[in-house]
Amino acid sequence: MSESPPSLARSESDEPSADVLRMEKLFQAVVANDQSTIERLIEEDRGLADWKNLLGDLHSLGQQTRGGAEVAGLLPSGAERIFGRYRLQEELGRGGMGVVYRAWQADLSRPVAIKMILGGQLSSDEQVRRFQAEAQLAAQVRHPQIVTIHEVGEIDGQHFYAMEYVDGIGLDRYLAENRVEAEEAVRLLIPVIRAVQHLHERNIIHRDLKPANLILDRERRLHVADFGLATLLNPDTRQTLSGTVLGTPAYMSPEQAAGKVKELSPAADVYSLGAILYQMLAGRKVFDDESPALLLLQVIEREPQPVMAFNPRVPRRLWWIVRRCLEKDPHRRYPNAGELADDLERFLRDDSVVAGKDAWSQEIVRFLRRHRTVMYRLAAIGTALLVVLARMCEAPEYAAFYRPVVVDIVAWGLLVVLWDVLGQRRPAQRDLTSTATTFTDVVVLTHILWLTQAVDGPVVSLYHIVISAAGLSLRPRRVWLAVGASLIAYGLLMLQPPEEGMIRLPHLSILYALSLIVCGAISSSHARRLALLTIADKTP
Amino acid sequence: MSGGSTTFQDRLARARRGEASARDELFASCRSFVGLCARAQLEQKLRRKVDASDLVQQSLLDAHRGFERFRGSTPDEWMAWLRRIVSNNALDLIRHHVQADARAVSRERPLEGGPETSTVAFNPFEPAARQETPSQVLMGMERHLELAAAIEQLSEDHREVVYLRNVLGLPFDEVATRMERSRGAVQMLWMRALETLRSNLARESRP
Repeated sequence: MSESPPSLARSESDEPSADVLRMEKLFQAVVANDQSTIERLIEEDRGLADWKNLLGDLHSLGQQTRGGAEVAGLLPSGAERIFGRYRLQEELGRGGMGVVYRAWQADLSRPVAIKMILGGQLSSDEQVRRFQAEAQLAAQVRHPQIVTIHEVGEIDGQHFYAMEYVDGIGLDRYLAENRVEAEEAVRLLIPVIRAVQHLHERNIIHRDLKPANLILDRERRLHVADFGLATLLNPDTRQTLSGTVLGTPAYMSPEQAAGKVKELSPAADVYSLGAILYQMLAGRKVFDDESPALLLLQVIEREPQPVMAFNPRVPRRLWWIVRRCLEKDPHRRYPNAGELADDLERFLRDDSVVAGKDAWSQEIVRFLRRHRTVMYRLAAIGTALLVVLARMCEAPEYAAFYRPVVVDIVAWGLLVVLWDVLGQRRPAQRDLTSTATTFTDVVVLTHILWLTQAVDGPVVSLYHIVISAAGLSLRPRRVWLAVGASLIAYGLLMLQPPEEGMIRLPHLSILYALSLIVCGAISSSHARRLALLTIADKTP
Repeated sequence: MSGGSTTFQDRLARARRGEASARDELFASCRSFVGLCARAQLEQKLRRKVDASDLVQQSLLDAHRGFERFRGSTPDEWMAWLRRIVSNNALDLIRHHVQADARAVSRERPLEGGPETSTVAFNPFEPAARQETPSQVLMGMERHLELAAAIEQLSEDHREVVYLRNVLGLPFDEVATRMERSRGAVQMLWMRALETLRSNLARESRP
């Protein structure tokens, strides 16, 4: 440390001095960890020896602050990120088990992506086994649209594989900022679908196709990245479902979402491809919900909205193809990616596509599925209407008494349909419209009870049904709204004098009010439990 | 150098026993480092200069609050832990203020792996995997903290050039654009900044 520092140029000229250039070279060599250049530079100018440490420390500090210095736990932070013959440059992604780096392969002078098991040498034998199986399977696949595996290996106990690095951005990020015309979307996606066909022909199911796993390169070609991640790193979907992190089920086939692992077939990938195409065409996901539990239920139960509702320029024939991919029943989908690609090519050539208009029976099934909840409600309301009408026929002398009730019931049905239509038009406000439906139930029911003075009869138990139905939304808050509204309504009805000759026992009314609260507690705890099961981990 | 880690171990042990002063010392010594992390984390993503002071505050606060959840024992684990907290907060910040489709992105919760996972903040309080390979550690924590503090004490121009060129690792052309000066001027500035930095460090290391 006592050595005098090297003389440094102090000229004010704009031309970089030789000292600056030497220092810059040294810094670059230090960053690249190029020992021979470092030695040569120091030999040329002994004074630089001193600077080497400072520059190295600064670089190390930079790595430490920029992040990504720990290689899956193998390299302590602050250390050089040299990994065998690779130089790790940047972390590209990280998940429950794997981490992917962009790296430079020095001997072949090419960029690569390196994937390792998170946790380094601490990973269990089972993890290592899966990881190797994944790598080996991936290495067998050769297709221009699937990232190529260069090397599978182990360095210092760290299992890794090196693969082709595709310079581009994830389709998810691309779609967040760009719209794609219908035909272009099809043209972009067909090569990827052919690549998945290539997998299917080798009896491999990808199982985790989603925009984030597709990379759009600078020539606007899509590549399947992270191939096999879901298939082999995590061959047991049930484990994912019960695990702490539930993935986004937005692109997951209904059979996967339902955890029916044994039923998985290439048609599961067809569903995911259809969901990706849907998003490219519509500019939104097939299903979307902040609650993973509700999203899961939508995937399993709900019929997707026609793409044309969001993008009227999409041709109907293309929608038929997408719809066929998104069928709930895997047997109704294209059996594999190849047939889907064929049909899309037929669409581009303007030939008639295989996916056609549905039979009317299937249309009805879809219609009922799309309006599932409203149909149940209408069925109940319709039954009530029939009962009242039957009573009117049986006892015509009461017709005048029941007429306003009939009006109420019809209005009930119409309002329920109205809320449903509004909810379908504006999915973002579905929360609002279904709350409105609950309130409609309470208000109309209360009005009918008021008109018929039936609060002391069995019909009053319908409030329990309203509360239970609110529980189907899986939102405890909605249940308590229903409970609150029902209690107020019941209180109002209590203002009515009891029927002549009847005595209303106050403790029975209190008991009834309590039973509404208990019903709400049960419903909301059901809802909360279901939601808890699927809450993803949250950062503290 | 060896004193650095014992000071750290000692402070950590005392802080864990509940000594508030030791905990304060621990955090005070890391302030400059957290500041550098905050800027680096933000600017890597945003590619422009940003005011990182809120991020520094928030991260130090989080680290303070979550101190019990730090389960590591080595200086490296400590720094990695701090950086991860900064990094998570930075991601949140970026998500909230910059990304156009912020809500859609944060709602994505991938199964695992994949480039999408970069949007998933993982738990910073997880213990870091302990894989000490001492030969590969080029530099101790004390040196990191010392350097970070020394950089903070430089004049503004000097601090900026060292930060952009050495810490963030930008090429001179980019440094010149960001500082709105010619490339040659920036290189000269860099040279002087390094000299100052070195002499400051040398002065401090002398008793």
